Amino acid sequence: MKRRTRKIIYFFTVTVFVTALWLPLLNDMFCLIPVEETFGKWENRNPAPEAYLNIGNLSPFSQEFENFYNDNFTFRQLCLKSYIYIKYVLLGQSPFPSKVIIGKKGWLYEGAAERNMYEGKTRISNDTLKIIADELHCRAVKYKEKNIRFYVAFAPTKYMIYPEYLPDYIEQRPDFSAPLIEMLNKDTLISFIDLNAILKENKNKGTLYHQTDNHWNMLGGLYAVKKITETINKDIPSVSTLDPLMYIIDSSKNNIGNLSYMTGMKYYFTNNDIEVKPSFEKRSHAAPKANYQMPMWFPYPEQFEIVSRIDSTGLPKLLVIRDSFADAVMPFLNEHFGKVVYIFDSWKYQMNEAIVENEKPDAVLLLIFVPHVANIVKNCDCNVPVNP
Amino acid sequence: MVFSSLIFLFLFLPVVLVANMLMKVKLQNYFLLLASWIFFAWGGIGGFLLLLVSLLVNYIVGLGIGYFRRSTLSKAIFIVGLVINIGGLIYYKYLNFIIDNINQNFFSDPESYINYTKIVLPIGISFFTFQAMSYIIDVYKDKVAVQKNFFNLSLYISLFPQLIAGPIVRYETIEDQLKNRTQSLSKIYDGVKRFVLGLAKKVLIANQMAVVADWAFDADPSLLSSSVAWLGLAAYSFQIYFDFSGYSDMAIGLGKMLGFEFLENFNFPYISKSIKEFWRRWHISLSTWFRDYVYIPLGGNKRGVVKTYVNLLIIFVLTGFWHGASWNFLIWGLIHGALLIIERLGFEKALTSVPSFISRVYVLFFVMMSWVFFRSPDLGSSWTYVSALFGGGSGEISFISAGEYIRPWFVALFIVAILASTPFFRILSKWLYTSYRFFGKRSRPIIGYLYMFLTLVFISSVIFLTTVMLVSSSYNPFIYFRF
Repeated sequence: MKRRTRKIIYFFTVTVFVTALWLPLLNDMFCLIPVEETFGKWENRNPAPEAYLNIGNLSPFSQEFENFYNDNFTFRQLCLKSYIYIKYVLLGQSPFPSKVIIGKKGWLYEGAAERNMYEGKTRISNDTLKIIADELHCRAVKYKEKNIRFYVAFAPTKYMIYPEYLPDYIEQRPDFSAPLIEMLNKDTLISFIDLNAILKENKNKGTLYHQTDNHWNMLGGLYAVKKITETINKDIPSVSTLDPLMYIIDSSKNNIGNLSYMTGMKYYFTNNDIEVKPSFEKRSHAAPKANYQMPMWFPYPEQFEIVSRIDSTGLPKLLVIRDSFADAVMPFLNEHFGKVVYIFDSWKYQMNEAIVENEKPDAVLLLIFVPHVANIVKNCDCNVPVNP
Repeated sequence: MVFSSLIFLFLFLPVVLVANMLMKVKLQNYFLLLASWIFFAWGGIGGFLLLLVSLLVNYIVGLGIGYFRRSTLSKAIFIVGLVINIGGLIYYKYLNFIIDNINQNFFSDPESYINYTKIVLPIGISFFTFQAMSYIIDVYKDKVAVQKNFFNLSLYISLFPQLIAGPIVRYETIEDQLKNRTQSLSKIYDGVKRFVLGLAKKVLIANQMAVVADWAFDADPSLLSSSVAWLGLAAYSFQIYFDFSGYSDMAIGLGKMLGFEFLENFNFPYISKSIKEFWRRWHISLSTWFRDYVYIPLGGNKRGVVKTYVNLLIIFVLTGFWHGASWNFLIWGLIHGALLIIERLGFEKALTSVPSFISRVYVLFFVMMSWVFFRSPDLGSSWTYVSALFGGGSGEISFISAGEYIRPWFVALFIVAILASTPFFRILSKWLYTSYRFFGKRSRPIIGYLYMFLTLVFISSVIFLTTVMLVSSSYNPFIYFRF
């Protein structure tokens, strides 16, 4: 190769390299390429704050500065979009497999806690399961003293109800729920409601979980309430049993589930949501809150306490300690009780004795998303273990 | 600071590179020393202070050896220097391990255990200590002149391209370059190509292989099917090679961009036909360091067969422990030491008489087996993993589970990794560069520009993909539920 050609090659190559390295800095200084907002609103944290050099304590500065730099990198959004495109469109993989699994026919699954549970990777020792069972038993005893019935229901994961849409590489292994359910079923003071079975039985009647979200949909909620009311009806006959035929099932608007957002491709992964409307006139309505003390740092204050009432029917009162799975349950459950108080205690699933004392319900329902049962151990407020 | 980070690539490097180009050598030395110290202090002020102490001690030891060259005091100062360097290394790198082993093996009651606060391993201590030791040994042996300028010696030991992950640069290699070094467009061009090649090896191959290797090695090895165990081991073999050689390439490339020439550290080790050859191609700067500063002073192979074998075992015990304070590294070193002895006992001759394919399979097999010990968290897991390789696992984690990772693009990457472990791409590149010989003189400029175009595409793609990968690791999508 001629010397001149070689020199041109050297010059261009070095220029391209140096320019590529300087581009972010130059863009920060002169805004050559328009910059999108560097921090997406769907990120589960705030951008790192600016770092300040403290001569008295130099150690944290480098990490703080690097976090700040990374979060404010001028092409961050552009790179994220490119990454998502390369991973999903070109390579056919979930962009963030530790957060979301892309299943068959556009079904999305949560890729961390729910997957770990399904694959038997979430280990909860028998001793810990015993602590959970003892705590719930203790609550049942205290409720019984107050003539309150205690019900426990586990909201199953999407993996448990719809394994057929999972990628082939995900294999089910025994998890902690079976031995725990066995312990709870043996406890005569606790009424355990098996929602897993009813959802599996009825999944041929319509889709019960959002395709692009990890929650059950309104139809899933409807069947869950059917089972809940059937169980409560056996102890408290004045609580009527839900009849699914009293509801109209309708396919409605496009839904973008939480898992769609987590993939970063919210417009790509959508599904038709199922709406369930009563064929009768609703009796329940929102009622004033008692404004109970909310746990600190709870990110959804408007969800902490929700109250529903049916006026002058003399129907029983229900207190529900719940998480986000109660969302799709509320419209149906409200029609079967004179008053329902829903408490979302920041995933602690505590006894909430003060609320029980004030509300004096006829029944307490603990509706808990099954991967969260270990939270009970950390938040025992009835039977506090010596070494949890 | 690591090379494969946004802050290094888009803040530190562009500023250092351009500023260095605009300065004269003498000023460059001070500037590069300051940059190197910032680079190192970025990882922790404590480690940086330790580096400063090491620089100061070795500078004084060097001066002392030179000043008292003809007296016995010179030897005493040299020994003190060695003791301080080795002592520092033992204290920071091995004391936790030593005390833990004493506690576990000599005390049955945990209440009688020696209480101590865990010592944090400073980044790069093995590399900068070995460089400093090579300096004082060479000064003592009168192989190199005493460096009287503290800043020049500091620059040699703490020059940021090789400071935290090698290669271990000998003082004699860059003694002259500290005073006189030339910077040319062609050298910078070579440096850019080499740096980008290293970046590609690290981010595009090693990091992707790591996903599969971590999946296999982090699982309970007793559950692995044989195919999964081999897949994980192959992925780890590629990961460690492309990670380490990629880092060395980046260091050598950066050195060139700054005007320095470092020696090669890897030379396609997986194509070796014997373990002896493997160690001439793998982490060359470490193996030659041990050869020149330990093996030869111990007598090398000149004091009889038995002594030679003992020396070899000593070297490989030290090489093993150099990589980390764990019995696994010792076993890894001993496997290599034992294989070298077996080869010396006559097996090497047998290897030359068989087709090279067989001798290469032999090397790959044992090198991969030794990686099991290098990667596994403890000896128990290592043996269980080895057993799983030969069908001893329950097979609960089967190849179906690997479907998450074994996608067409991964298979393609795997093939690229196999080819890149051989001189295939080097030969291809050379062929392209000189292909005008086949196509006639008139094609020369066209081929030249095609070569430039391909190089530019490669460089741009690697920088783009690396940036995309680095940014994606900072993304944390909203994990929680609807509200």
